[in-house]
Amino acid sequence: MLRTLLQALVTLGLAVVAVFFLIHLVPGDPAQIVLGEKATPQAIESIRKELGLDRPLAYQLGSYISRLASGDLGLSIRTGREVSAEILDRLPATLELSIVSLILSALIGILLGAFAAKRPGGFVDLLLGGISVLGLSLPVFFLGLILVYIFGLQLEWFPISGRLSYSSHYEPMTGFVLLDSLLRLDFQTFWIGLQYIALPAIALATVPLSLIARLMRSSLLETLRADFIKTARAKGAPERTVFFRHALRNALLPVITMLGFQFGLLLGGAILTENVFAWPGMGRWIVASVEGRDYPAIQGGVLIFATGIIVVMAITEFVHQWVDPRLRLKG
Amino acid sequence: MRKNWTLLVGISLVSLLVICTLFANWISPHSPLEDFRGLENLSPSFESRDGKYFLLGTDTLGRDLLSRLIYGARYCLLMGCVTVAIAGFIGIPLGMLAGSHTRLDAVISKATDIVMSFPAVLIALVVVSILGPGLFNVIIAVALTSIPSFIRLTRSQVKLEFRKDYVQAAECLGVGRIRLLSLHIFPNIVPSLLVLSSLSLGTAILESAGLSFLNLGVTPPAPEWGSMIRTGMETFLSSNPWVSTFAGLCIFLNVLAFNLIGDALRDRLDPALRGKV
Repeated sequence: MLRTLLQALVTLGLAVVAVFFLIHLVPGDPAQIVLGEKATPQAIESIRKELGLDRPLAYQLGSYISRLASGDLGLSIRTGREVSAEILDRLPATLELSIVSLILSALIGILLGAFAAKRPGGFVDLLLGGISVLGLSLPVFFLGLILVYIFGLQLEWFPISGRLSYSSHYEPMTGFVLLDSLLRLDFQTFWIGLQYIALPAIALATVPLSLIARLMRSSLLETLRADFIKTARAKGAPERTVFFRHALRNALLPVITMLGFQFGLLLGGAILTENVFAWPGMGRWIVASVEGRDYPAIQGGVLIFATGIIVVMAITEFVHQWVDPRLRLKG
Repeated sequence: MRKNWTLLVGISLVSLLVICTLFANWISPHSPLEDFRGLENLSPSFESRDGKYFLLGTDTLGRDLLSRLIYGARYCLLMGCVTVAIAGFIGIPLGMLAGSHTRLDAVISKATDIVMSFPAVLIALVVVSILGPGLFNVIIAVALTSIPSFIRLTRSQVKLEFRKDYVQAAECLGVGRIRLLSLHIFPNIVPSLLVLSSLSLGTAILESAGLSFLNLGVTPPAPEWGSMIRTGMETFLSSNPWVSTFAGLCIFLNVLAFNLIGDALRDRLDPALRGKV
């Protein structure tokens, strides 16, 4: 327990230092790059001051960490707003998309993998093979476009961009459209929100879905060959009990570990997916920040992504130890 | 039989890619950058327009799509091969160190784990934000994200080899560490590294196309497939879906090819790798 927590903290510390040095690794003068070729020396000097580049390195690092501790991520060069405020505006959208995709890919992936393992070479197994070939070779942004074309334009089942229509009355409470509308018992908004999230979530879920299903399949196949399954059958346990209680539960262990890892992948995929569907989240924002060389924004964004991933990895580790007592004993 | 079939499909697709890369000047009907005024947004057709053929149509600026796709093969192959070469060049020695040296192993493995838990796109974004967009910088960014998997695989393979008799025999003969790793162990782990390289090529192509799609990689007017999907997106929804569609298909087929080859190689050379790479 303690060890996991400590490791997470050390990783977080490393991430902070790495993010701090990001701006110092820029070849040349960052202030010059931010402002472009034609900037006056005065303007460059003022940007240097604003970014704190005129101070000694150790002082900069110290003040960066102390400002971080009070939640201050600096000012965005593009908009002049606080980076933390910009992030708070967009983080819920990205989290909502990633969580919905994670649930989608976990549910379908586990089911698909389990059925494929139950009858190797059967229909579900072939289907899984097809999906994973597509999932691992198709660029997620191209898949997004295909979905837009078929389900948005031709069939007109789903809206193709954004998070909610302008006409729907939505005032953010937590910032999560689906959660807010449920809490307010506003099922109409919930339904609209669901329609908007459907296509991006499906596009984003494809890669993790194929990975989860493949792992589930191989893990279950391996478990079904284990000795304790033979014992259970020999005892005369009904096949259903053997499959669900003995095999499935044990086969799920590696899948649970993988879910945490998938969350990181999902956040990465979200950066691409958001740009296809004009989803107003962190991904679009950080790409725009990189394009505009908005270093405080990039640093803040990367740090938030990193923190999210580190936290999820730590939680996964805890869950894993909780479901598998053997790991707890090992320490 | 089925395995032969997938390997064959993979190899033919890759051969097509290589042919396009080498002979783009001769194969492509037009220049990839020439604008044909008045012939913008043509759909694919076999009919001639003004005495010229545009088999796959043209884009918003009237450039021949087929020629652009053929020239795009160069970017695809270049970015894929160079990134994997760099990743292997750095990753394999580090993995060997980790696999043969207990203390360094702790540091290298931990660092690899940490880097691998972050999405590759994010790491690549950070690198591009430092270096700026462009072909060369994309290659560096994508190479960096491919190093950890080379380290991890090399490490685990080296550890496996160390348990074998021939390594002990060599050690008894007084063969030095470096000689042992490079002349005795390395040739034995080449098959699994080949499998990983083929699969990494697919990932590298996907990643670099993704960066170009985000306008952070190879930028227009260069005929790179990812950036063609991006520029095609503007007309995708209204008039001309072909640019994005064909560029996307090109990426898909080539990534598929490298994945098929990787899978087939794995099944032949080293079935024990299943699930590892």
